[in-house]
Amino acid sequence: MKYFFSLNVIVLLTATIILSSCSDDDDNGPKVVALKALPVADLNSVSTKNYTLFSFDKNAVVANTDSATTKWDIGFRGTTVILNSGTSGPGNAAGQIVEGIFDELLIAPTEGFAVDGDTKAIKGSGGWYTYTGDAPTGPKHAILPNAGKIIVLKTADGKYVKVEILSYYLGNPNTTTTEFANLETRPESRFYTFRYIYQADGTTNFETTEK
Amino acid sequence: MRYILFVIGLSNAFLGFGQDSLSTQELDEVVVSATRSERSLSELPVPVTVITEKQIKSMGSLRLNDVLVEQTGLTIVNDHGTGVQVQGFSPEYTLILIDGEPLIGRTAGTLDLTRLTVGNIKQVEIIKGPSSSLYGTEALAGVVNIITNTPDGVNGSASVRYGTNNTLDLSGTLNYRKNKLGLSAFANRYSSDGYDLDPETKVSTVSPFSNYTLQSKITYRFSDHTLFSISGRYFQESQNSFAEALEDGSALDVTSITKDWNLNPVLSHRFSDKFKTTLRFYGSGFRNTTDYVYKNDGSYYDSTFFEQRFYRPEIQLEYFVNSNNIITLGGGRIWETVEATRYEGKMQYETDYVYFQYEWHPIQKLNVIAGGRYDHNLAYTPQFSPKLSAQYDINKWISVRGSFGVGFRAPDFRQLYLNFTNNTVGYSVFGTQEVTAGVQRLIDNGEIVNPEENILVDPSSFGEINPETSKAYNLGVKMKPTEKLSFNAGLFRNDIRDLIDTKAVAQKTNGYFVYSYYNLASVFTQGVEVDATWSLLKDFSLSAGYQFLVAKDKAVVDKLEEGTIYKRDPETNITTRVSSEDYGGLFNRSKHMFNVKLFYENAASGWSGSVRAIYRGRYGYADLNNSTILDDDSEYIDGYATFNVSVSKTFKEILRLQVGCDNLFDFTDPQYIAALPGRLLWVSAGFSLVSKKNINQ
Repeated sequence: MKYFFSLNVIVLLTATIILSSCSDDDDNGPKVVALKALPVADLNSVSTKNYTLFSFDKNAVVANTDSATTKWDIGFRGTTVILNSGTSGPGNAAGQIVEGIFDELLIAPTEGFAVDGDTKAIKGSGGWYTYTGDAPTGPKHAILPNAGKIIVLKTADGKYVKVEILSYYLGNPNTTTTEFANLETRPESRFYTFRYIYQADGTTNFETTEK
Repeated sequence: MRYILFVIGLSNAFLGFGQDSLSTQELDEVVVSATRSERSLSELPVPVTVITEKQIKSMGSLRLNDVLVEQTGLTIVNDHGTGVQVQGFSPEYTLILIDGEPLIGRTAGTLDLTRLTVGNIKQVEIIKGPSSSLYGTEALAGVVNIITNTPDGVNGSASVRYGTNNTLDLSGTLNYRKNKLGLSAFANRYSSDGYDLDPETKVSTVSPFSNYTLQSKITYRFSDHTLFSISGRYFQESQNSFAEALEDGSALDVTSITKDWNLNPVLSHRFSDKFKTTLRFYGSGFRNTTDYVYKNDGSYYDSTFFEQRFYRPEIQLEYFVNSNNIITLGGGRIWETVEATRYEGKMQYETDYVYFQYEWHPIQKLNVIAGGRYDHNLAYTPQFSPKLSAQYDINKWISVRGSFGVGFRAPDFRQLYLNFTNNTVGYSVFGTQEVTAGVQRLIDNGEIVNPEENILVDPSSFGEINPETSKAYNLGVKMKPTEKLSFNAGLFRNDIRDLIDTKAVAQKTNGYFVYSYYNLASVFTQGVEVDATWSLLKDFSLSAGYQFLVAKDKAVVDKLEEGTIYKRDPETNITTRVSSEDYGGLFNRSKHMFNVKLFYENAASGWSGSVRAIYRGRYGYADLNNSTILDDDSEYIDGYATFNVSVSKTFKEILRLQVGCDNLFDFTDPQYIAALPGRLLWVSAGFSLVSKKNINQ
C-alpha cells in the first residue's frame, strides 16, 4: 500500500513535469497545466479623470461605465492604483505588496491583504514606485517601479493574482539611457507595462492549475 | 642589501609606488599635529605625512586642494564645495586646521578647501585615522593641519602667477624679527573667470570669482620662558553666477559673498625644565550671503544667509617627567552658534572637554603614545575617545607601528536644528531637536491630516541622536634600507557605527514627505596604503604611492547574503537578484588609486622641475538599475589619470621663474567630473628679498 502510494506520487510528479514542459495532452487524468505570466503592454492611464479599469480574468480593459460593478479588479490613473473594494469599488478585491522575485513567488500569502480606504491598499510613492524628483544623479522627475516589489491581489471575486509592474512609460523603455534622462526625449508617461499570473481555480498556487 | 632591493622592487611591481618624495628624506622634521606639541617626526608612532613648502612651490600649487589631490590615499571630491576624502570617508569626517585650530563654515559637511591659499605655509601635515583623542569632533577620518610660517629674520617676497581662464594669483609676504619681536604679514588675491565645460547650458561649470586672504602673526618673547603669539586671518570671496527662477524660468543674477576670519592668541610659559603651560584662545567666524535678483530690472527675488561663530579658550599643561616620559593634560570649552535662513533663531551649542596624553619611551626601540579625550555636550551623549599607538624599531632601518583609536563626529547644527521647507518642491526637513514641534505645526496647519496614518515614525523618537563613531585599527611598517630608498606600507580598518542618515517621518497632504535625521548605518572601510621614494640619480627623486580601498555598508552586505536586494534588468525592466560579488561598495570611492612623481632639483644651476601623474580608479556614480546600491558596470565612472608638469629656474636666490601645465592631456568629463577643468597653462614669477644681516640670526 505504502509502495503503491509512492508510485502514484512519482507518476503524478512525472506527469506534472511532462505536462508543464511539453504540454502533452494524451493523458486521461486531470490535466495539470503550468501557469504562464501574461504580459500587458502600454495600458493607457492618461486620463486625469477616469481610472482605466482592468480585469485579470478577461485579460482586458473594462469600460469605465462598469465602474460600479465587480467586472473589474484593478484600476490605474496616473500613478494611483486602486482595487475594486472599500472606497474604490463594490467588489471584494484586496492587495498587498510582497518583497521578492516574481518567478520565485510560487504560493500567494493568505494574510496581510488590505482594501482601499483613505490610503490605497497598493501604496504609490515608496510602495510600487519611487519618484526620483530633483535627483542629483540618474534621471530626474521619473517614476521608476521599485525592484523586488510584487503586487499580490485577490480579485473582485476572490481569485489570487500576482503582478509585476515593469514600466510607467510608453514602450517599456530602458530607463538608464541618456535618452530617458532627457525630459524632452523621454517616452510619454502614464503607460503601464506589467505582467501577471492569474490563478482561476481559487487556490494560492501560482505554479500550476488543474484542467 | 641586494636582496632587500629586490624585494622592494617586487612589491613595487605589484602595488605601484609610494608618495611624498622630498619629505620622507628629511628625517628630523618637526611636526605638531600628532601630539599638539612640537615633536620629531621620526620618533612618532603615528604616521604623519608632511608636505613641505619647497614641495608645494615645486608643484606650483595655489590652493589646499591642489596640494592634497597629489597625495597618496587622498581623493578630492566635490559636494557643496571641494573637500577631501580620507580612507574612504566623506569630507565631513576630516578636520581641517590652521596652526592646530579648526576651520569652520562647512556646507552640507564639506569645508571648501579652495578657501585656503598655500602661499604662506611652512608645511601641511596629514594624519590618517582618528585623532579625536586630541581634537574631538570631526577628527574621525583624519586631520589636515596647515602650519603657517613663523616670522624669522627680515625678509619679504612677492609672486605673481597667471594662467588659463584668466586665473591670476598675487601674493606678498613681509617678515620681521628682531630681538624679542617678530612680525609677519601675508596678502593674497586670487581670481579666475572660471570655466564652462558644457557651453550649451546657460550656467557655467565654475562661475567667475575673486578672493582675498590677509594673514598676520605677531610673536613676542617676554623671556626665555615666556612666549606670546597672536595670529589672525581674514578671507573674503565673491562669486557671480546665473540661475533661473523656479516659477517662470526668468533669468536671475546670483551674488554669493563668503567671509571668514580667525584669531588665535597663544601664551606659553615654561615654569621649569619639567613644567610648561600653554594658554590658547581661538575665535572664528564664517558668513555666507547669497542674493538673487532679476536680471532684467534688478528687483529682489530671494536671499539666504548662513553665519557661524566659534569661540574656545583652552589650557594645556605639559609635564616632562624625564626625557622618556611626557604627560600632557588639557581642557577647554567651546561656544558655537549658527544663525541662518533655514534655522529658527540663533542656535547655540556648548562643549566642555578634557584630554590627556602620555608619551612613553621605555626603551630605545619603543615609543608609545596613549591618550584620550572626553567631550561633554548637552545635545548628544558624552564621548570618550581613546587612542593608543606604538612604534618598535626592529633594527636601524625597519620599524613597525600600530595604533588603535576611537573617533567621533558630533551631529552638526543642520542635523539638530534645521527647520526647512522647500517651498517650490514641497518637502520639509527638520533637525532632531525641531522635528516634534515641526510636525505638530504641520498638523495644526492642516498640512498633515489623519496623523494615525500619515505619521510614519513617532517624531519624539528622533530626540536622542548619537554622534557617529569609528573604531580604527592601523598597522604599518617603514623601511629605509639605504639612504636613497624609503618605503612605507600600512593596513587600515575603520568600523563606523551610527552613521547619520535621513528618514521620512510623515507624509504631507501635498504627497511629499517630512524628513529628519537618525542613526542608521554601520559601514566599514579598509585598505592598504603603500609609499616609496627613491633618489635614483643625483638631483632626481622618484616617488610613488598606491591605495587599495574597500568601503561597504554592513547592512547591505547582510541583505545581499540573505538575497533581499533586487535590481531591474535595464532591457526588460524585470526584477532579478543582486549577488554579493556585484556589490561595489559605497558610491564615489575608488578601489585603486596611485600616483607617480618625478622631481628634479639642481641647486647649483637653479633649475628644478617635476612631472606628476595621478590616477583615480573607477568609482560608483549613481544607482541606475533601481537596486539602490552600486552593483552594475554602467553605474561607474571610468578611472582616469591627470598629468602635471612644471619647470622653474631660480636666479641668484632672488628671482624665480616657473612655467607649468596642469592636466597636460586635457582630460575632461563634463557630465560626471565637472570639477576637473581642462588643460591649465601657467607662468609665475617670484621675488625674494632677504636682509643679509639677518641671515645668521
